[in-house]
Amino acid sequence: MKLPKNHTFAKRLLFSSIVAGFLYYTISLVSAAGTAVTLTPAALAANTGTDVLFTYISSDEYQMGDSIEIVAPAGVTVTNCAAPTTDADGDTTTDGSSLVVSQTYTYLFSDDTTDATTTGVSFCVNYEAPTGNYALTFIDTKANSANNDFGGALLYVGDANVVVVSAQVQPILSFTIRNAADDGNTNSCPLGVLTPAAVSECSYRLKIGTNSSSGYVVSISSDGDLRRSGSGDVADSEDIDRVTDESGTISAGTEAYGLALLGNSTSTSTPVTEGTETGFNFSTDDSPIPIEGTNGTKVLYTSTTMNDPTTLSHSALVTHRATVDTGTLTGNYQHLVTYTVIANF
Amino acid sequence: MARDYGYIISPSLTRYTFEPGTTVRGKFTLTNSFVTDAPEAQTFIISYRFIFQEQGKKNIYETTPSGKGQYDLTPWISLGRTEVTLGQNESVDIPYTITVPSNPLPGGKYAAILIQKKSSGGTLTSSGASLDDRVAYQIIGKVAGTEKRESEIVSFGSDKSVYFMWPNEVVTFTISAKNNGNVEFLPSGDIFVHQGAITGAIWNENFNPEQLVILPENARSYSVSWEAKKGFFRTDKEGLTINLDYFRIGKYHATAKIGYDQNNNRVVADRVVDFWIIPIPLLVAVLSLVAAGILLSLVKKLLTKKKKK
Repeated sequence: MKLPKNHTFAKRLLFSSIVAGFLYYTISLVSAAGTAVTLTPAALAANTGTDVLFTYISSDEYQMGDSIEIVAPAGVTVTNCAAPTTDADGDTTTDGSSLVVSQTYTYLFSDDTTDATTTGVSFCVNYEAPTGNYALTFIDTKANSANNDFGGALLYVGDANVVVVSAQVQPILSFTIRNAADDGNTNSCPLGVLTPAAVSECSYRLKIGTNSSSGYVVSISSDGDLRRSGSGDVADSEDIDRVTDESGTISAGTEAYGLALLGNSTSTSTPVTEGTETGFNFSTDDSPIPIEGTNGTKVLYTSTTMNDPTTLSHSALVTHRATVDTGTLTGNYQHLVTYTVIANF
Repeated sequence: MARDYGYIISPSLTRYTFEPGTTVRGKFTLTNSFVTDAPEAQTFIISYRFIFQEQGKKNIYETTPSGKGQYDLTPWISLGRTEVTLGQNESVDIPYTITVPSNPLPGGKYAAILIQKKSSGGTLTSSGASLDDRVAYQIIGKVAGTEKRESEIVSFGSDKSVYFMWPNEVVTFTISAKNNGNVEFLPSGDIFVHQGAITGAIWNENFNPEQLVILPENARSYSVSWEAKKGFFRTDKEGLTINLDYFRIGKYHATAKIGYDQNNNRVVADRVVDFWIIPIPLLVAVLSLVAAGILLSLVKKLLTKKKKK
């Protein structure tokens, strides 16, 4: 079509029509859907012609003139069943007829279906093939092309002349506490000399391994406050005050003690969720450590995926931080922190 | 050198159905894989605790909380050994016995057998924390014939009602369920996104692929997210096609088909939430395209007029 040179309105109209048409086309395609296919049976004996029911639920009822094609790969012999499908949707009325050309089974609808979107449609096709796995695919053509469906399924052929090797892998859970560099195990986190002028810190890694897809839960508890050796933690003056939950990072000169968890940052491929129990919202800021007799055991973090512990990035980095003020009594301050790992369910 | 896994237990969990008045013998395997430690041999202490959930989160209890005694399996457990020493990469079976009373309280029973290194809790010469590490083997059981399977779907929703930044935005669906029975409850099912007919769903996903259960008297939430497939072009059965996720617009329905327990039967319920996708980036792009077209034609018109003059 050639437009007159000064016919700008027509040009605009043409341009807008193209844009609108493109949008309409893309939006009209939104309803097209991949469809789950069921083969019955899905596994056949090798080199033995077998009737297979090819079943799926359609996006829309079929109308007279619609058709579907089921295509098998080379190597598969396709024939019609001895009793070819006439009633595709199982409502006891004839919906159409089928034919096979080479690898393609075609069903042509001569009447409207009534149950294709509810109970689905089934087509009987006879397949014969040597041992192997074969992908069967289908696509239909409906009057309303927006409701066309496509899909596929694997046909497994041949299991008579194979040796079955079986093995069982049970769910496994492993756990170790590693130093921050991950070159050795550790069971301590030395904070060194605590002074009001600085925040002392120490770090280690929790490395958990599991082959369970439901993941694992790490819980934390302690035997009491970080307290002066031999004090028994009977008075507040004998311990380093626990940091208040969600109050940020400890700053030098104000007596406080807590831990920070870098669970997510070190395990991008195995996401963890920090515990968020009241008063113990573990995250990258400093959080108080629960005391067994007072707070019980709290969830430090949860993972809902399997985890390979051999990779450094699949561990959680825990950092203890502490600082004192001028009123803190002299001495060594210690406590015992217990981590328990349990499979998630 | 072998990899250092620390403790390894296998399996990590066993399920039982207990017949009243019977004795159940079980075991699991413990392996010492602390291969970078000295001394090479490690002694492990074996104990057991009650485990349960609080607000859907698993917990291990020093003492059984008030009101939860009927779910506590620990009074029925006895251990074949309470301490074992293993060389590096050595394994041993840890046996246990569960003696079921003849008239047990009904429902689920839960416990964990804990393994802990005897040498845990490192020695410190300065201020700091000693660390204990424990790994737990779980036993989940129920008394045969006493199950009360009763649950409810509390809510189903999306995190927003309108998504303006699609496809650079994720739609998150959350299902909350509650266990009103006396054994664990496993919600299951799929969420389908469609524009009217569920059979024409453009996306669907299992909301609990990890098979996470809810213990009695607990509630739990399950979230699953729908995000646009990446890449403007995709290769599928049709060959090279445009990724339609980039053109989602309008009102959508999410239907959750949820399997849950009611009166000891498994039932499936549909829950539906509607939401809108109004993709501002796409609309801006289209409008810009149209505006550019109009502007171009106007400029051409002006130039043509000038030439004529």
